[in-house]
Amino acid sequence: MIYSANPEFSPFGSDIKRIIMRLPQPYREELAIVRRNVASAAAVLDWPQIIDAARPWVTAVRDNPPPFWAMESLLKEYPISKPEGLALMRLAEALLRVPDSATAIALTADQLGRANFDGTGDGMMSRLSNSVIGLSKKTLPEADHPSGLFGKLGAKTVVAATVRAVQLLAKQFVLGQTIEEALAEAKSQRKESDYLRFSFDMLGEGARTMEDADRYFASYEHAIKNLAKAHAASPTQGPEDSDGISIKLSALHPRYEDAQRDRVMNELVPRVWQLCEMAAAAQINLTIDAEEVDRLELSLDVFEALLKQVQAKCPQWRGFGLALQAYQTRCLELIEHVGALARQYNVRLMCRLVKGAYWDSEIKRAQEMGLPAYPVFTHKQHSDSSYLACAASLLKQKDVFFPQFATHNAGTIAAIFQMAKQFDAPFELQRLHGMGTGVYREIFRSGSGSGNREKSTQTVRIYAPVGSHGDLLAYLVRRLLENGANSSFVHQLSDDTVDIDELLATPLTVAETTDLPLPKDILLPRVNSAGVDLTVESMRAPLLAAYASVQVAHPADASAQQAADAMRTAHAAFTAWRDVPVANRAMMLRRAADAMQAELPRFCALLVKEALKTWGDAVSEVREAIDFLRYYADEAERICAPIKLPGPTGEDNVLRLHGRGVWVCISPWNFPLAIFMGQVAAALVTGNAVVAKPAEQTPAVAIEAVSLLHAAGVPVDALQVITGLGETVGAALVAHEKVAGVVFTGSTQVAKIIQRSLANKDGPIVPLIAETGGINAMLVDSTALPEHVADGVVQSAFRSAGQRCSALRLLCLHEEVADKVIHMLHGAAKELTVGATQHLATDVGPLIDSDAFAGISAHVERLNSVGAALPRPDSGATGRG
Amino acid sequence: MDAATHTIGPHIFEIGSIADVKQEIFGPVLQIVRWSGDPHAVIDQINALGYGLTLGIQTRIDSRAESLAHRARVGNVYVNRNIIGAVVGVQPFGGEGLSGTGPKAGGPFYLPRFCGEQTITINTVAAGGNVTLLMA
Repeated sequence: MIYSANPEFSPFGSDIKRIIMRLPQPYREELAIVRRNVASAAAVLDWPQIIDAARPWVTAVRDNPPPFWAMESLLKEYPISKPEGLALMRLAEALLRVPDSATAIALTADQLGRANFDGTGDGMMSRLSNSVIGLSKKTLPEADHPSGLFGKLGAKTVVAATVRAVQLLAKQFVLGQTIEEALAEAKSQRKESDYLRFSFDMLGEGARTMEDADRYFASYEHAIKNLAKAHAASPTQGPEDSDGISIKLSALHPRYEDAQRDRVMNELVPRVWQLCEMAAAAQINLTIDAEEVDRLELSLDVFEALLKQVQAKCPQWRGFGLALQAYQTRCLELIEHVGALARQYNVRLMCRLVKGAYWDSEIKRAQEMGLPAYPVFTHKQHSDSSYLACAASLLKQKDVFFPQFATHNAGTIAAIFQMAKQFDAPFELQRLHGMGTGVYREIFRSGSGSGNREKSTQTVRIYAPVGSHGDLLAYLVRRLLENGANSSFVHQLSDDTVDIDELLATPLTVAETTDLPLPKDILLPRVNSAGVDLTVESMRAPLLAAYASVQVAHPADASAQQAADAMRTAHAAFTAWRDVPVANRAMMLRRAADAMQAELPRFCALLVKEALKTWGDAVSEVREAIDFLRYYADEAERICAPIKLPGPTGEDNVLRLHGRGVWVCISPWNFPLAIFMGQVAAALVTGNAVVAKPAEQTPAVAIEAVSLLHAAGVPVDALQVITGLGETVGAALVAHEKVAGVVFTGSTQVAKIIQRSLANKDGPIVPLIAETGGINAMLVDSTALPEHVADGVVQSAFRSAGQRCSALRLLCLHEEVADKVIHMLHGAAKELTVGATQHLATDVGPLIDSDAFAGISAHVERLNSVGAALPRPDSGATGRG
Repeated sequence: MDAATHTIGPHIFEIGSIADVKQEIFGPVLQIVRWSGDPHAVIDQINALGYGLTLGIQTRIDSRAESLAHRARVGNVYVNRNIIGAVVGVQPFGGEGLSGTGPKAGGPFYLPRFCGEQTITINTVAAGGNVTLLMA
């Protein structure tokens, strides 16, 4: 009945050949790393001199601010910390992609309604806002409540004007909408300085489908061809002296993730190599952009595979490299590793050192996953000191690195000049298009600030996003919004109230305290359950080892008589258990939680084997069970404390809660540990005795969970588990006279049967808590970002093979975006790996048993016959309203 | 589809209307409908299905997300994200209508349902004398 995996097949699956971790695991204690970084940077830096060098730049920028159109001017006028700035950015993120005017009006009205654009500033944007945005507010209807025809006509005009304002903004982010346009713009900017270089990037959302990846590939390929053509005019120039390209691996493959390593190595690497080969032939700089922490190891596997090719096929190419993120706590080790690879393959690299642009999402991910520490520094100054330590390391290894320092921070720039002089190492500076214009203007004007540096080494490369405004703006604005702190130097530079000494203060100190709690402490006073990052070998290994050894018990089904006996035994044990103080009952739950945390690998392995869970789902489920235990322990202590009530003098009134008797807990196979444990823990901790019946498909993990509770001190008689079929033992339990309550999770149909069974009994009326299914919908309008919709839909509908009560069943798409989203969903669903769940690569595992398979198959057949009458999404024949 | 291993890959179907969805399909099967006009009318049709567990809303119009969530008769509403993986004590989980009785698991109202309640009223002046009044 239950699908059992072939025992011959290694649980490591395709992962057996993978290289052990190249770098230390990413979740290490922060301060020790900061102290090391500070010490190594301090050893080579003279900070007072740096202040002297940077002060004239900062003073000059303040005396003569960058033009109104520069991003920093815009941010000064409308900082994203204020409602106006946020509204402007959020409009910029969404407005250009909205195809229908009704929705565009609703969006504009909604965002502008939150902000005061009546303009107190005197800049150009203020004037623009007075004429456009300020007017908009007065003319626009409330979102979703359109006024009369006149109002609508007025609103359309205003929205059109707002769209133009956003396009103006887009020009500050995007160098050109095509590579041709960008090259022309680059040429025109270069008239200002011979030392200006560009690195173009066809930025945007990562690929969700192979078609996306093909489109990005074609666009990178086209850009490199154009760059090669431009470079052909001056063939003797090295990659340091010509424009180059940056590529994002997640744009070139829809499954660029650690669990899909085989596909990445087989499908992505050859693709990237094609681009590298073209860049090598043209002798230009090609940089692999850095992405999230959980892709770092994988990116190095890709990088090494490419380095091998470079060594074999174009060893003379000196333009290959990758971006390194200083906010990662492993950045220094990363540089050492990359340096060692470069020596091994005898290739000189061009490496961009950035601070890192995914800070918010890294922090959120670590908290959500309950990781032991953050993979990125939690203080700006720690990232700054890391940047300096990493810069020193790159400059010292000039045999293999031509470092490219991407920063807008005047102090950091001055420090780099100082170190480069000391190590006599060549380098270039980089800035983001539209950012840092003031500081870089001053550096160009004054030289390095130390007065004796050769002009020729002070090249500056502009990182220049290229693409259509509609596609690119959403991505860039999100990056900017997610990295408010990243631009803080730029913010402070334009903020006259920040003293220059403060602005240039040394980052070479350790911030001993932090406002950011560790992931385990975000739910204080309750401890967050600890999770596992499956991309980290040392964290994953115990799970895979447990899989090899764990045994799934197959208990015999109990009889109706055994069920009745269990009810009687539990009833006899009830009073004594009820009288155990709530603090003791809560302590037992917490003890069980700690024990389960310690045994997380074994429980995960059990879930993968018995319940056919994927590893990711298994980890989440064990964590949920732990959280239930701790949460209900806290809650019980809260609600079971006597409540003193008011009343007349001469009278004491107190309300107290107590257990009701024996609860029957009936849980499903789809969360055989978390829901089982949640029901049981809730009933127990409030002073009830429990007879629990796990689903017949998944008794083993439930029995293990009960053992933990018994070991934690819950009397064996007060908590009993009865295995078997719902129709027999389940029915017998519910029908028993001693039932004080039933808690059930499962189908609506069975819930009704239980309800009727309870109603048919003589004796007390008892409560039923039923959590059943749903036809869960998602409504998508035309302001939503299709890529994010696709992510959310694929996870919600297909993760756990759709076997969650919360899973998405019905997607409601606005007609204006339906074709695009449906097409993307088909493409994204095609990339999912379907198979046995013990393999880390599996996204969609099996259905729980043959009955489920038969049932779902019948539904698919029925929908196939019904759906055939409807236009297929791929045909393009769908009508548009 | 593979009957030997009970695996079924993701399936996506476009259907004519929300009312065509008659029951929950507990597997990797997604049905899609198109809508136009007022999104609140779509929520009304979803409500009419009788279930009320989770709902996703994807929009950048904040006031729209708020008013749609308010109108929906469901237990868990997720805006601009996936709709699975409720976290204990963070997203109390459970629905209404055909989706369940409540109270929500992992929420502050769950445990009281497992409890009996007892009020104790003690006449503290039964033996005469009212200490509280004496001290006032």
